[in-house]
This record gives sequence, structure tokens and C-alpha cells, in this order.
Amino acid sequence: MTVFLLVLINGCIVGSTYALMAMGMSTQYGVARILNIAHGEFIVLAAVVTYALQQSGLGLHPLFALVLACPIVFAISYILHITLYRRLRRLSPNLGVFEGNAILVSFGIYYIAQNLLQTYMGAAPKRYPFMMTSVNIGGAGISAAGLFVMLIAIVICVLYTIFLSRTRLGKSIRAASQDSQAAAHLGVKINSIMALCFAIGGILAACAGVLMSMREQFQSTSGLGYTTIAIIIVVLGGLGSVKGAILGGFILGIVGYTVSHFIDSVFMISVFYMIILVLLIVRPKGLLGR
Amino acid sequence: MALLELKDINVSYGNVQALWDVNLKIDEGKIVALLGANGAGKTTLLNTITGALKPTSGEVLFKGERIDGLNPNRIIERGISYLLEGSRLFPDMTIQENLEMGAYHRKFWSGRKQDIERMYALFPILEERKKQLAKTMSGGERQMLAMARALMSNPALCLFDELSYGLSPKMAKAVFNTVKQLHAEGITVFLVEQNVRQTLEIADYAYVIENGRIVMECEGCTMLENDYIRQAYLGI
Repeated sequence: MTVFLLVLINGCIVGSTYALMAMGMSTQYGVARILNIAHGEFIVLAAVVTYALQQSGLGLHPLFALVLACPIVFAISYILHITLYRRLRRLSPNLGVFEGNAILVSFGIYYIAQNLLQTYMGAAPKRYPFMMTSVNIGGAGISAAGLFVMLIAIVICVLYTIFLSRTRLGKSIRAASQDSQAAAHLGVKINSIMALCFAIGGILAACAGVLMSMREQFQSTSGLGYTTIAIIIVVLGGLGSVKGAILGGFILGIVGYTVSHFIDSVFMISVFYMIILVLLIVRPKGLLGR
Repeated sequence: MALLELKDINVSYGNVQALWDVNLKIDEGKIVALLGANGAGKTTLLNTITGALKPTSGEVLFKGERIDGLNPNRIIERGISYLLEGSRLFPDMTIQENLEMGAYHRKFWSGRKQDIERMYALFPILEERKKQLAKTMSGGERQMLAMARALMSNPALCLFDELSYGLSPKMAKAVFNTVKQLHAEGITVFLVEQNVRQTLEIADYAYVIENGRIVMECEGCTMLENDYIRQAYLGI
């Protein structure tokens, strides 16, 4: 029972940040049709911002880093979209070609971003102390930092789904992801919505990065690992489905933690790929895919 | 004065000319039809009206003012609503949300609640199912919702592209009856169709387009008796 609780809660803690990463990637793909290989670099960037702020000796809570990291990543993503991707979309004869080209371009951005990060922060893993105590839940010792991270991540997930379902902008984002041409004929400015969604995806990556840094170490090369996990979750949950990304995030978090607890963490990614393999045979559109 | 008038419109895609000297008039309160086969230029003509395509020469006049060259949002704002071929609903949004999207433009957003009530009065079936996702509806119901969504912005002119496409004859009949009902409410409708007979039965005036040129125009019911139309489009 205690082991069950331990695995479940820790799995949800890991899954909550996974959900944020995947939600961001899903938002970028859903409307802008960009499968962003550089997604993880923005997560690392936000983590570095948080780390730097902690080292600065200002004594600020690490959550404060959101105020800094979100606008930075938003701006970079927005500018990337209107300079590179928008142009790429104009030059691509059709959507399929654009999607392929966009992946290649994002690979390029990934290499540039990763090298810049490495130049700035070096190769050594980074970690700062945060809420080092643990909480006893039904006999299982759970890290307080982990619980805090999960709480904030869930709040962000809830706020984002409310934004999508209740606001005019949120509805137009959903409409554009379901039928962009029909949305355009109703007055939705597709080009701005695409840039905005790409940048919102960036914000979600930034949130994930800030939260991630509170409970685990990271280094300049961690980004691709985050991207891989986000891609797996997005495929698991259903391409472009935000609710699917949340569900997939938690599932993968729990599965991953179970594997690393009972077997070894090196098998985690192989198990993830096995899940995807089975999924692609049984339900290729993903759990909540259209 | 006509509500919408096209004067000597020429449209090209690169080197390929799609419309040649098209002249067309839609009078207020009328149902005007445009008939033609696949690839004749029907959708190109609609895209020219909505601002998605710019004509290489000619004028588009709406309420007496030129609208060619305006961007599509300005044209929506002036009161032209376009229902794309194949209903094009947002499948994973509810019926109510689909209607709301019809009032997406800032000018109409604040009045969306009253407009939705108006649509529920016009199409009671939509109110019964307002919380359901659009993808759960049947073909005929989808077309009803698509029409209601196009009417949300209180347009002066509705452009309906292939309303009856893919519907069973019974459903198509119901959809055409709805168009008649809208007409009775004073809404001006431009029907672009392949379903020649049923369209001509309700149209006040009709144009026939072939290879990018208007080849014939007359009152709807007289066209039904025209030998060429009977042979080429009705197969009698």
C-alpha cells in the first residue's frame, strides 16, 4: 500500500511537468503545425533563468522566475515564428511539405540553442536547494518540493484549459486547430493566431522548465530528452489535443516512475517507446485524438 | 441599385486565367443562383467576393462601394457571410460554440447571446442539442448549423457554396426549404450549386458559368424550360 502510494504520487509529480511540456508542444503543433524539436531547449532556458536567479542572492522564491522566463521565451518564440516559420509556410507548396520543413528548421534551432546554452552554462549539471524536506503521506515519504511543483503545474493546466474553453481567443485557437480555413472565413486572423500559439507553447515550456528546476538537476544537453518525452506524450494523447497531452503526461509520469522504481530508470524510455509502438498499432490517432 | 455587383471581373492563378469578364448582379432580398460544373469557376468567384482572391481587373461593388482589394475581415464586417462547401464545422466544439464562432468578429462578439437565441428560434433542433459536439450531428443537421453559423453576424448577403452536396435527396429538400424560409425573412442569398433542378425551383434569378465565363442568365423558372439547360444540366 505504501509502495503503491509512493509510486502513484511521485509518478503524478513527474507527470505534472510532463503534461506542461506536452501541452506546449501540442499547442504549437495543433495550430501552427510545427513539431518543435527545439521545445526542450526552451525548457532548459527557463530552468537556467531560474537557476541564475537563485544564484544571484536576491533571495527570491524560484517561482518568481516565471515572471522573467515566460516573457523571454514568449518573445523568442514569437519572433522565430514571424521571421522563420511564417516565411517557410509561404514558401511551402502545401501543408505536408511545410510540416516536414518545419521539423528540419526546428532541428537547426535546436542545435543553435543547445550550443548557446552550453557556452553560457557549461556542461556541468545544475541544481539549487529548494524545500529539502519530505512529507509523510500514508507512510510514504514524498518530497515537499515535488508536491509544490505538482500543485503549481496542475493550477497551470487548469487555467490553460479554462482559457481555451471560455475565452474568445481560446475558442478561436481551438477553431483554428480544427479547421483553419473555416475559421479564417469567420474573421480569425490565422497568421497572428499561429504565431501566438507558437509563443504560447513557448510559455508552457518555460513554466515546465521553471518547475522542473525546483526538483531535479538539469544540464545544457537535457533539452532533447524533454523534447523526446513531449513527442511521445503528444502522440499518446493525440496530436493537437490539449486534454490528451495532460492525460498522456500523467500516464507517462506514473509508468516512468514505476519502471524506475521497480526495475531501473535506464529502461524508462524503452518502455515509453513500447507504449507508443502498441498504441500505433491499436489506436494510431492517440487516446483523445481526432 | 444592386446589393452586390461584379463588373468585368477577371481573375488569374499565376498564368492561368480562371474568370473571364464576369458580370453579375444580386438584388436585395432575392435568391440568386450560380450554376456550373466542377472546375467552372464557382468557388473562384466566391473567393473573389470574400476578398480571399484579388481580381486582376474589374470591380466588386457592395452597397455601391468598391470592396475588391479589401482584406477578408473588412468584408465580413460589411455584412457578407460565406458558408464554405462541405459545412466545415468545428467538429470538437459544441453546437453553441460553433455558433459563437460565427460572431467571432469583434463587431459582432458582444451581441452573440441575442444572435444565438435568434438562431435557436429559427432552428429549434440546434437548441435541443446545444451542448453536443458538432461531429455527432447528421449531414442535414450539420448544414443547418453551418447556415445558422453563417447568419450569426447578421449578414446583408449570404454566400452558400454547395449546400446540398453530399446530402440525401430528403435532406437536400429540407435544406432548400430552409433557404426559402430565410428568403421569406428578407435575407439575400447567393446560392452556388450543382443541384440544378432544386436550385432553380427556389431561385429568383440564375447565372450559368462554364470555363470561367457566364454563358447564360435569366429568371430561375424560365431556365428550367430552356433546351440547353435541360440537355446539359438536367439530362432530359
